[in-house]
Amino acid sequence: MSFLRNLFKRRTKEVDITICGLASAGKTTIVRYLETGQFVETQPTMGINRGETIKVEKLEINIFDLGGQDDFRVLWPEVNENSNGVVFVVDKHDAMKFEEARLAFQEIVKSQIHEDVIVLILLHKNDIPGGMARSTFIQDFDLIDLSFKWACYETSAKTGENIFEAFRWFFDQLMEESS
Amino acid sequence: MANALTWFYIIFSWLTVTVNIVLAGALLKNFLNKKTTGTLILFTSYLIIGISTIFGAILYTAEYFGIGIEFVGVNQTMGTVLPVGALLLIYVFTCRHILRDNEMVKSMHLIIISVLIGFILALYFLAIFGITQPDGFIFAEGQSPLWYQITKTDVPNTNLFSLTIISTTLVITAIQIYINTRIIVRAFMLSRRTDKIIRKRGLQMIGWGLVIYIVAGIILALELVIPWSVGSFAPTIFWTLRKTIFFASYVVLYLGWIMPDWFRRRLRGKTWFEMQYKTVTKQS
Repeated sequence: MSFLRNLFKRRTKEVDITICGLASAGKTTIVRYLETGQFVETQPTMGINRGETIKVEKLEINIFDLGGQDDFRVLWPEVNENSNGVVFVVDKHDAMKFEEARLAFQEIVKSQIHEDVIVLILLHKNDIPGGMARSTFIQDFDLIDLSFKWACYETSAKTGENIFEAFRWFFDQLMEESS
Repeated sequence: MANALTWFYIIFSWLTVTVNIVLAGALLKNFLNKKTTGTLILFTSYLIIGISTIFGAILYTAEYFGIGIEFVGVNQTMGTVLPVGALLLIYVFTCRHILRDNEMVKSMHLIIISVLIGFILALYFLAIFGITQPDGFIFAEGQSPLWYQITKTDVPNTNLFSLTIISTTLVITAIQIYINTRIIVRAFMLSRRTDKIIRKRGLQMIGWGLVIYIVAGIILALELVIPWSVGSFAPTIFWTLRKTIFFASYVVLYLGWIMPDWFRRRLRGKTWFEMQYKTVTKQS
């Protein structure tokens, strides 16, 4: 019996992560970068894009890329509730939408995810000079009081800056959590 | 009543139903994951095809109980018309990603083909209610050929194997060939233009899947149009071949439209992140 059990036992664990953020923040571009290691022009995501599955050691990570437009945000809670990790992408140059992004993020952490979920915040489009500084962002985005395991990186999908580092941290935490 | 051949038809039909339902289920799962209009259209089209195969399987099962003839009209009507309905949905789906027909062209296609299907459906229903002559068109002898003067007449031994089925089959086959050929040409053209391996292979699979589908459609048309002699084994060979080819085309098209994870990964190889992670882990 144990032989049969071993034979059919799954060798890998599977987790789901979601990539959220306002429209045009660069979510799909990040997913494409993880896949190809290159900057790829993308179309706006309509609804939910069940994107890539990345395998790291014995963990299979399914990436759900969520459309950021207002109409699609009603779909977020259902996906986020079953998620093991959330990546929230913010365009660091879009000051006009900063408050909207903060409210959307607070909505996620307050009512859409479980307490053991790993949260990664990406201050994106860092290849363009200027924009909000990381330290100011952490303070204004109310990250300091966050009760989740979280990290914030400044990234760029054009130059690849910090993409690997950010997701390495994120996936390592997921592996630790699921072991 | 049932003989070995009936059993063969029953088993093969339900096997086709099972595969179609599994594919429709996979597409439903895909829709629930993505919640996009495209995935909903694709799921609905496969569901319709699945339902049409169920009608076929019920017919053969009814034949086992000796009551097949009572269902032949309804089942054949559904089995013939439903796949064209599914094709219309596939057409709408491909307009989003492959054909790029504008709203005007798309509407014209949908209207004209819907009218044709409606007309064919009307003929079939007239046949079901016993107006079809065994040797001719939909009017009983001595009656006015004006459609609004049609009255129901009881014609013994009436079924759909008349001129009606031959002419409508040819129209349906022509519609299928027209729409599918347009998608095939465009899919192969786009696959040549792209360097992205997954998109290239996906488009090629759509193209080849539809080529296979058209071949199955032509076999179906021949099967219905050729006047087979009684007791000939050829219709069974055609039937089996057609079902197998339809089955293969649905699977190939499913892989092309959806690109399930395992298939995508097989085509793609390792992601950039996976390779980087491996390198870094080795170094440390």
